[in-house]
Amino acid sequence: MDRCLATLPNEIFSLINQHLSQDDRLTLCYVCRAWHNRFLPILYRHVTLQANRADTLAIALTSCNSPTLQPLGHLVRSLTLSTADPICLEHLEMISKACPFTTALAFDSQTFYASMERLASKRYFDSLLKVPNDSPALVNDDDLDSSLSYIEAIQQLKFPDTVKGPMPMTNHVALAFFKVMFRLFPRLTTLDFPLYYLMFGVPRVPLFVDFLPDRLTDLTLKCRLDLSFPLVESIHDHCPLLESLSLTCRFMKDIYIDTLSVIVMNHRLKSIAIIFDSTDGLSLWSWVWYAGKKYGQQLEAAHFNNANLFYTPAPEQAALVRHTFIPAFVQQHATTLRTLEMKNMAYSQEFWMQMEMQTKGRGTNFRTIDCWDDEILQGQGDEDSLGVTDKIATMAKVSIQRLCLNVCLMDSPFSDFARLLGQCPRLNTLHLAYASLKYSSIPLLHLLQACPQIQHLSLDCRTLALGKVPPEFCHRLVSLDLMYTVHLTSAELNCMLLFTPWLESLKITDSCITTYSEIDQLNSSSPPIFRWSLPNPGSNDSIDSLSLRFSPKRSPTAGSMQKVSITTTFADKTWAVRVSQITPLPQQKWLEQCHLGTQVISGTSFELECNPIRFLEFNKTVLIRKGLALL
Amino acid sequence: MSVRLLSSDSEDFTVAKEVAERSMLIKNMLEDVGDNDNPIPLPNVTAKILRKVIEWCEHHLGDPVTNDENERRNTEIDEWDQKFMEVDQETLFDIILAANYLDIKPLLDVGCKTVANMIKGKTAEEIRKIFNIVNDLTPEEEAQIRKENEWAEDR
Repeated sequence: MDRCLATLPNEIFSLINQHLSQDDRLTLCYVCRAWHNRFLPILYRHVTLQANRADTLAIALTSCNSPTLQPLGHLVRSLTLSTADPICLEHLEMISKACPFTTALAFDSQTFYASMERLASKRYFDSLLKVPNDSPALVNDDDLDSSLSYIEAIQQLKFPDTVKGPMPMTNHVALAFFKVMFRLFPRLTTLDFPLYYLMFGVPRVPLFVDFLPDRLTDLTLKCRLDLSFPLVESIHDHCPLLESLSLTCRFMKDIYIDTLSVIVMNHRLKSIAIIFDSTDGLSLWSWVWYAGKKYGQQLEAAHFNNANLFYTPAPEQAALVRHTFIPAFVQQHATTLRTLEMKNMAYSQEFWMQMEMQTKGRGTNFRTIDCWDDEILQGQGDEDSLGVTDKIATMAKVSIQRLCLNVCLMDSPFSDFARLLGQCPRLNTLHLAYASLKYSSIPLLHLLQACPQIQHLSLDCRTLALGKVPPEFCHRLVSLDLMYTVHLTSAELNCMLLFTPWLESLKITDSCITTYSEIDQLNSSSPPIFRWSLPNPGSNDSIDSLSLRFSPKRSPTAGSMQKVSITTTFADKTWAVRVSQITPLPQQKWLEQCHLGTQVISGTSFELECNPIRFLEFNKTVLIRKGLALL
Repeated sequence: MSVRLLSSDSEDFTVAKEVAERSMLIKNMLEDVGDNDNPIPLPNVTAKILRKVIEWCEHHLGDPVTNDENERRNTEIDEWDQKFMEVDQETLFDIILAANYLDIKPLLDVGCKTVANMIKGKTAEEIRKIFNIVNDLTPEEEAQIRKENEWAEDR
């Protein structure tokens, strides 16, 4: 056959490649010899270094037995690193030097921070050969020799005799490390960069902005810095080509818009994200203001994410939000923005009201809206949130594709809202968290009936009811996630699965699915049996991904049997998963989740007869991957 | 207003102008040459494939045109397209190549997603079966490739 996957031109294969994982790409390489030659360069284009694989990666990148006859490292364009541990620093050096054409660099921030701390430890310094005596006391961070290796650069720093805390040293080590790294990757345009080291209160916080590569177009910064407007201004000054900027931070100056005399408009940035994980959410509103003042209408995406619950602000602050912060943003971006995320921001009523006024008669351009307040979810929302969901859905009706909302309905029935969603022709993905003040539940099938266009649905709704639909009802739902759902019986779940024969992924987390038999068996010695039927005519992959987490109604006893049985309607596809033995968690936790102990996996009690399921995960343990049981 | 298209095997198709203009190639061509009765030759597309492509363009006539790469990438294949793509592999790749040549980005995306779904999460043996490929690597070579690229394995 002259037309096949391996003969597609590069630019077409790269479109396919976007949907594949590193593991998929590796698999393609050992399908046959021709495919190996074809797909090896593609495997090496985007490299993710997993922990403990630095040595094998370093060897692979420096070897030259690729079909293209150039070192494999030269094929690398993007690199994701999760470690810089002292033990693999030399391999990292090899990797860095082997990939001179890398344009994108990312770090797994959590593990990387731990690596930096280890590098900054006294023990590591002691293990290094001592530097010559004439080196400067504590090296000035600005003038590291431009040809140093990671180890030499760190070696040049002198471990101070008296260390007050580990942080200042970590700072210097991290800076020395990143300087070397940026020098070794001279073509960087994309950087995902953890700056946990530059702590608040360190006397000499070095200006890290100055050594950022200045040709960056995408910058993601995770820091504990005091996020301030001047800092962001200086990032823009230093990196004039930026198109995407994402800042995660722990601290934020109080509202101080007065201190910023001039904002230079930016006409390049397309995406801004401010993710904020502590203290009050009001200062985040000043960033909404900033985004309105700073960025022109080329801005396509704005994310404002407050990890904590909002608090009730003082009246004078509310006035500031209402009359200064919201109008600045709304006037600039209301009609042009495509993606908007606002999490735990409060003032949603006010914000969307101004949005509505601004866009009246002009329409919006929204593809994705993610509007979310945890307080509403917990039933503590005030009238602030009422009617907002209706407003959002109405406003974005024409263009919206992905919608994530808290629904908090006081008076109007859910069916009205469902009908409104049904009028969004391009809506494809819907996430609803439902907190009803009346404690009624989402009539699931009703929602599906009203919205035939939805393919991906996730619900976080405490209570779920099926509702009544005609018996021949059929919906093309592809994936369904249920979170924190209780009061759903397995009979109802089965009924729902009957109505959604195209379902590929069913994910149930932190939910309690009850079976009728459970009631009968409460007093018996054997535990309940969960039994679901997954009818899926014509498809051999019934369910692609299924993860289960059980919250049994009663505390499991050690050594008790938990039987899970999942059957499809096809006789030859019948398979059963039987898991015996549950390791109970401490008393207070068992209701939350019930971990299936790892000994279950290795034991003989897990049975698989036939597996149409390609991927099965119990908690974090993958039992089936690629249709093969990992036992 | 209609346009005549000539396939590589000299079959003449007459389609509505707005259908043909789903192809950026044809749209640009029409803008350049203006309206006339001569058929537009498409030397890279056979009649069989052109018929499929026209069918797709007719069905998606009303679709909003989006230039947002991310948006197109993340949209799932809809029901009609899934059915449309249920063809033998040679035809599937021909449609992809034709969509590329005719510059019909949404059709190209649907084709690429369809192929990606044939690969995702599969084992090498399953892929060989799906794409009808004979494994010409010796077990030693296969082991060697796995060893060399061990870093890329999922765990």
